[in-house]
Amino acid sequence: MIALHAALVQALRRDPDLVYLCTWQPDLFVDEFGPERIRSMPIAENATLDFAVGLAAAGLRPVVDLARAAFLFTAMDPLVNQATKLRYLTGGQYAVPLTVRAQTRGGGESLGAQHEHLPYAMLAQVPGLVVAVPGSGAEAAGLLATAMTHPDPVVILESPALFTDEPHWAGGDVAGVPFGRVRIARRGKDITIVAIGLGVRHALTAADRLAEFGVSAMVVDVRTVAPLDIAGLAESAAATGSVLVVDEAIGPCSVASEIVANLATAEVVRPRQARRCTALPVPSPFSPALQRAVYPGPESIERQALALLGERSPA
Amino acid sequence: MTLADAATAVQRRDLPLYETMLRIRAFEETALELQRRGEVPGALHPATGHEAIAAGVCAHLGPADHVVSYYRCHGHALAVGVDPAAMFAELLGRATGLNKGKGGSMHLADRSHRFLGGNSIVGANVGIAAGMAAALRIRQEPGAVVVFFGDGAVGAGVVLETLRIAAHQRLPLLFVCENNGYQDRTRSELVSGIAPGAVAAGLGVPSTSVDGNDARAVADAAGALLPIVREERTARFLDAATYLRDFHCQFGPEPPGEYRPVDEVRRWRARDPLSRADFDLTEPRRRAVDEMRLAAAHALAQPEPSVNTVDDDLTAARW
Repeated sequence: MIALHAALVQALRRDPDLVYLCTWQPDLFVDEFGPERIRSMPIAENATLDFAVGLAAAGLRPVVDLARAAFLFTAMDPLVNQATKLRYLTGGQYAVPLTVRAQTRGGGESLGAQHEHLPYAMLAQVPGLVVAVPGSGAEAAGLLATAMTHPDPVVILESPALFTDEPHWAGGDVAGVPFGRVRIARRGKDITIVAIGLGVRHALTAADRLAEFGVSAMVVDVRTVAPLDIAGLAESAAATGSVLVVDEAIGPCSVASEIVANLATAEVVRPRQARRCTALPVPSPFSPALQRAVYPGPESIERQALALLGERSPA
Repeated sequence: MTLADAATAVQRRDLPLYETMLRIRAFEETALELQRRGEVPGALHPATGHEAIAAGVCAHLGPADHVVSYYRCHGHALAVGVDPAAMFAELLGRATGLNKGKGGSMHLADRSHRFLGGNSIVGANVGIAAGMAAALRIRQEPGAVVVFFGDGAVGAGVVLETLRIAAHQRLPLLFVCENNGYQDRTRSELVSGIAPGAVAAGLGVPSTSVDGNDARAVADAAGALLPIVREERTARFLDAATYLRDFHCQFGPEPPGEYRPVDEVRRWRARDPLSRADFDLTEPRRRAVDEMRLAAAHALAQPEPSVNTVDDDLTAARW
């Protein structure tokens, strides 16, 4: 069992109000928790998420496995208009403690433009919604553990690549990961590479290569894009004076843009010392060769980091 | 007991239904008056003409039942017992409104009455109601969920999806369609050739048709369906034919145009749910009007919300 499943089993055992909605029931869960709590839903994302909002409004704690983040677009009304609005519209009378899990891209799946999406910047525009983008399999488990005790809606956007080499869970409690707090994934003093989701893994690979050039790169995992840990990002950026923000989503109106804007406004780095390394603004291509051209990887991160450091003003 | 006495007793049985309907009518007419005076921000969707459905269905609610409404929610709120002064204060956007001035006319909610309330997205409330009904199943609690919606909602994908889910998962859910023949300004016939009840039946939820302007008929239908829904844990659909007196959406100081055929309006007005009583309603009508005028006056005296509350109730988390 991987950490993510351990987190789920642990929460299902601990909290009888937890209900798991999915279109494919893991036998492991059904055997222990039964079909009422591990609930099979038809392929009807709109009704399923609305249903989950109703479960939550009635005091239960639904976790929806939406399979692909792409399917969120079918279910935007229940997420955006219902889940994140009920508390506000009712003046605090009803709460919607809902968790939605959905996969982005990056496992070498080549599922094409309708299945591979990174919609976290769009979702970060929705007030009241926590948007988590884990940077590792263990982080995904920790963020899920926190989501399942959180009072309000949370979307966790997971890259399937994070789970491909996930070690077997050794046992014990899966600790919750706090929302709105960055994680220093690697310490360094020359440049701060801030990364989101699968970008964290690429940034760590790039940091290894940069070390061969004598460059000490800090890697910061953003963890939640909403709430965004502005103070934590500023502190990490100030420590090196240079920031490269790695974001697999497209650049315009991105979380990377938001981070750069905040760091520049806070004057922790000079504007020229904050750069974005983002995807080209095209739908996700089918061909692996085209995907490599669209998304940031270790090579492009390394190249941009060196370019950024090369332009650094002499001390 | 003479035959005349027996007839009176039968009529008296219906008095509570008429009192509820009269309170709804008086609330809505007071609200419309406030709106024409420019006191109400936003839109009103009055339930005038629909009163018999709210009164008839809610007469059979038990203490474990939940009610989910749609944007035409004032009548349902009153029928479940929500305080009209707090409702008026909400319509006026005041601090002491039912939803602290954050919801308005279309979103009245009162958790203390198990009333999830209004929803301004057509059909979304139906899916939410199904989730609430599933919660009753999962927790093995008694009771049912009643969801009100218009015939326009039956064109929404989420409602079609939810009907199928409710049938398959045996949810204790009563779908109540206030079938007034129109979706916004469009005659439902122009966009769908299938009656809402037939759609429901086709997706596995048995439907009952009723004259939605006859409070006794609605109450009898709901009284027959709700025990099945609660005890057999199974969804049912009530297709209630009705008509609006004050058309669809009232927005701004001027009454909206009347888009419906004159003959049709005249025919339905003659079948007004409040004109069917065989007994004298003068006194209950006066009481209802007085109650609502007093409630509105109370609401008008309430303060506006403090701007400090603008980001309250957005999330319970403090970062």
